[in-house]
Amino acid sequence: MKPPNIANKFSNSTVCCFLLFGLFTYAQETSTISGFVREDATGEPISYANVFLSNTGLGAATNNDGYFVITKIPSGQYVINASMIGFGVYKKQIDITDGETIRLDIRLIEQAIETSEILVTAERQKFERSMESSQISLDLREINSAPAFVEPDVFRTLQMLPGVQTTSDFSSALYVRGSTPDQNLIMLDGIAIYNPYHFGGIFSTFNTDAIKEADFHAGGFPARYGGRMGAILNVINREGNTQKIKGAANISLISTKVLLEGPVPKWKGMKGSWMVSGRRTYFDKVVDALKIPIEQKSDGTNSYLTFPYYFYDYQIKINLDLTPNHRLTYTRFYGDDVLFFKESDTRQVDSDNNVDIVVDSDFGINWPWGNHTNGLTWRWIVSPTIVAKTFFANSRYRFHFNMDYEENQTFTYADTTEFYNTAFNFDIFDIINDNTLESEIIWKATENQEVTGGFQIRDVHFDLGIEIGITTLDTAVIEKPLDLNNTTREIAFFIQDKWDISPTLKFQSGLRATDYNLHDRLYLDPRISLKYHYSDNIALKLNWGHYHQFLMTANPQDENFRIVDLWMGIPEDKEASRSQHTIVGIEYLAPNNIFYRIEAYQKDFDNLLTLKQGEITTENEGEVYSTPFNEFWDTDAEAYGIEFLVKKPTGRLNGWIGYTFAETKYFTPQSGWHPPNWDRTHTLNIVGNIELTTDLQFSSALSASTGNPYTPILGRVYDWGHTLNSSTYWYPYNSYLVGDKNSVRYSDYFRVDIGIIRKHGNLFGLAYETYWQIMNVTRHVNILGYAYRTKIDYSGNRMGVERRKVGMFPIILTFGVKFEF
Amino acid sequence: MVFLGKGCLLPPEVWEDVESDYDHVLNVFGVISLDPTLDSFVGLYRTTDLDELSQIFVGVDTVMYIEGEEGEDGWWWIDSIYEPAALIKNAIIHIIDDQDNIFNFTFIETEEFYDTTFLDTLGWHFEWIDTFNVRMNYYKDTTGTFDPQPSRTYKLSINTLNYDPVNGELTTPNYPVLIDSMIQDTVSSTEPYEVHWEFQENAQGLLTGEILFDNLFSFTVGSWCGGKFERAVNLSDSTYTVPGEFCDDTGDSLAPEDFFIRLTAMDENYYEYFITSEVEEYSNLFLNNPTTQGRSVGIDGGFGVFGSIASDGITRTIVP
Repeated sequence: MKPPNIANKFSNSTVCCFLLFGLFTYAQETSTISGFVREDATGEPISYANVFLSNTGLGAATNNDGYFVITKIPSGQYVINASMIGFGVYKKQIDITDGETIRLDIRLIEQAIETSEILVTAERQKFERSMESSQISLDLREINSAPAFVEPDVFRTLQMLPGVQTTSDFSSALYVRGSTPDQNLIMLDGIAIYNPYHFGGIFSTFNTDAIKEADFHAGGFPARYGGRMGAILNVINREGNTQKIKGAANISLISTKVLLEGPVPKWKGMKGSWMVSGRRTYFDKVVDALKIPIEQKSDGTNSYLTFPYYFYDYQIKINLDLTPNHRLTYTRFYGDDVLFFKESDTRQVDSDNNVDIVVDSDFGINWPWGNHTNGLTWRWIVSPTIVAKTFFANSRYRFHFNMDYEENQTFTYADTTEFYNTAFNFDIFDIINDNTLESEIIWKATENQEVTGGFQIRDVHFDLGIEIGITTLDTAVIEKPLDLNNTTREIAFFIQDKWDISPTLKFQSGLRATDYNLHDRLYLDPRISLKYHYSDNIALKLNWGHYHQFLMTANPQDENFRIVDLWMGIPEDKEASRSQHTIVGIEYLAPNNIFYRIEAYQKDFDNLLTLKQGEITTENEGEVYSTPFNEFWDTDAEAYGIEFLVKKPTGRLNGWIGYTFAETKYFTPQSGWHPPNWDRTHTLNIVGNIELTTDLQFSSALSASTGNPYTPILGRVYDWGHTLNSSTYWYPYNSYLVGDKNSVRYSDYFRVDIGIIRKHGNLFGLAYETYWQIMNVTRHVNILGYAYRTKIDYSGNRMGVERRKVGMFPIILTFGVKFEF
Repeated sequence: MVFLGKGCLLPPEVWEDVESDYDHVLNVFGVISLDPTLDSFVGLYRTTDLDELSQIFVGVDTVMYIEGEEGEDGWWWIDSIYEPAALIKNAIIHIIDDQDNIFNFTFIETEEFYDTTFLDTLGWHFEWIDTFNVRMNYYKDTTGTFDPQPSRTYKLSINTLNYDPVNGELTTPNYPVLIDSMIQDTVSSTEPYEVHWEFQENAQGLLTGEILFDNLFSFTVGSWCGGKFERAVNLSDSTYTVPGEFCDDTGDSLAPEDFFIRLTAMDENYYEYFITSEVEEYSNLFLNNPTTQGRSVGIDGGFGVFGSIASDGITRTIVP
């Protein structure tokens, strides 16, 4: 491993940082109002709330923390307003004198009646403030708006947005504008999550009950984010109720979820909140409790049916306001899937008069996989215009398949007893340990300019291996046929400047510089955004940027199902993967609050790596080793497309319509240019939600798209094997001959889901709501793949090949009930 | 519960025939053998359609007459003879050496082999010599003039009607030489031991070991642990240490057996096809076996391989 040549690499970046801090010293003393906007009932911060001074052009929107700052306020008397959808308008008269700094903690009261003034104002905030193309924020209501498979799922909702594709109904992984899931940075409260799925991707790990909102960038994201080149998803959890202890429980067909939240007891001026949520599937426990006998063991007892799988996750978030300007936030997320199986048996072996032989055997499989994260964030409001955030986080993903067999033999003679023991152990594991220290400073330099700068140090330890152990009473042998152990370090500095050049023109520029310890070079990622307001309701956007990535998953490209991800750092002898995004778009926010967006994008990818899926050997100095996950095709890719989005976020009838035309092509020396197996050329998604009555809500989702590509089989060809020992012979075996990679497509995909939610139920004073959902209500057979079989006659003669469709979701009915207390 | 009513909610399984639509190419397996006991040959086939029979009936072979039970008639055991539908019999195949000598390989359908059985009992010695024909279906030199030499270049030329011609080329390996004096007389399957050979630069090979059981039906065959190994080696290394196997049962009761160690040198084509080449370029959970778009190593115009081998072997004694 080379020592990082930080001094040389960062000379330019260091200059930038000094410039940044130098600029801070020029922060002018002007009258300023800053503060937080929160829900009155819960204390949760409100994002995108509009805060403005009546009869002036002065105002601001709250960020994800609910924080706002209005600067350059002349002295005088004003009425400050704060509004947000679903809440009553806050108004307060204030007097401001020169150089005064006012701190406000604004509480908005939930209000069922929504005035048109409020609706327009809230949506307009997003329309006017957002610089980046392809960004969308989903709140809990929107996440829950689409009918879900068993449980609401943020990833399933995101899959209904333009530009997002998937491989099948069985996967909630996000393929965004030509990028694979490993190119997406998925964060929970800012902490990277490496494999955010349960049950092989059918469910995401994020418990929607705990989510406040999900911030999704399909591309063109700013310099603030790095290390990935696809999309950004930051799932922000609720902070917890600061007023009183509350709870909710959700019982679905597969799991029970519980959420508790409440205030931290006040002590020496400190205050805060906490939130705990957890979920566990219970099918394994139900099957265990039923005690269904399946066979009788040799000792006469019964073996019972088991369901050897469950998953769980829990999240903890604690906020502690040490002072009005200092906050500590502790975030913890634990989520695991566990496949387990254990069987013990005792048997008496036939024995003669001299000896009794008893054999005890234990066989077990234990396969946990999942994420554990811990993060501590310190937010410091240095001044009303400068906010610093520093966090340290550990994110650990691992899968660890362990299979054990142990046999104990007891030989009992007339005068003595002998013991023999044999144990076999097989382990395959991939453990990623990510420690990240990150700091950013957001400085609202002037009314028209906001500068953000910071650094990130990310140490990632990868441990991918196979261990085979055999032990007896006196001997132990451990083999490690695969042992890839590596630590990578990314040190990144970034700076970005958001500049409102004029009321109609905004420009954001940024630069991210990253040192990767395995490579002797500095990776520079410039990024720019331009936004032009053609009119009050129409905005044109342009985004361009470079993105580098230093880790990847090494899964086979043709896999039909992905249970686990095999993460690796980019090897020393390979260039970091690189992508360039170019996005142009036009947005229109209609007076009736319907949002229209058209975006065209083009992405180039270089230095991607594709695992040679059949390559299980590596040549090294003439010897051949069995080392999977070590041989790659150098891969380039290109993606382009155009997307349409019409979104009606509010009202009795709400939802969105998205259409995507997309082309993605990958190039490997082996297969040439070809579409990946998740590419869908045309995709139409319609999500609708209607309040039938105050108690009854109906939702539906329609998804139609071009079928996924697959590689056809054309004919048969002979391949040969050989035996070269005491005798020599070669033997042919019949192989299928396949055509060009992914050159044909399955029939078109079509699925309609519907759901009904009945609210405001009351069971012995306990509020509850019930939900019913039907997936694939039209019973359309969407093809996951073809299963092939050879017709063989009585003489072993092959008569031909047949195939049948293997479908995705059939029609599925699910239901659940949610309690609040 | 997730409601999945089979037959009601799940779609029915419908199988459909898969048809082919592509241009067939020749499918070649050619080996130039420097081992005196092994002839050089070229097997020639074509790729086939999915809806095509894999083999065709070409006749019958009367094996023997089976006597009937008492009072019943006997019957003739007649075996049907098939051959691969993909077999090409009428090609013109030439091997050309680096002196531009052309050797014509002709199609051989069957070859006659001899099998001798010995029996010594009660002072009598019995010996049976049985001859039988084996269907080879390959092309070889029938004139006895083709005598391949090490470190020489040979070209392959195949021409036949309706298919693109196939051409290939290889350079034969040098003979490997195991150093008899440096390999211990008795090896143990559970202890490491070294195998030595004469240095060769830029050459690859396969080192194998196999126990030669006198009686394959012996109890000892199933009880042996270890012994057999196979290892790709670089011939410039000159030595390889065979690791001892971990065996739970010490096998103290087993008798020593003959053990055959073989070192096979290979040309680049053979090594790539059999040792290093990727065989699972396309895999699909529902396709039973991983497969390829067709592999061509050492040939142009078709699928298959044109390779060469040369071997040396010694026999040792192995103990458990």
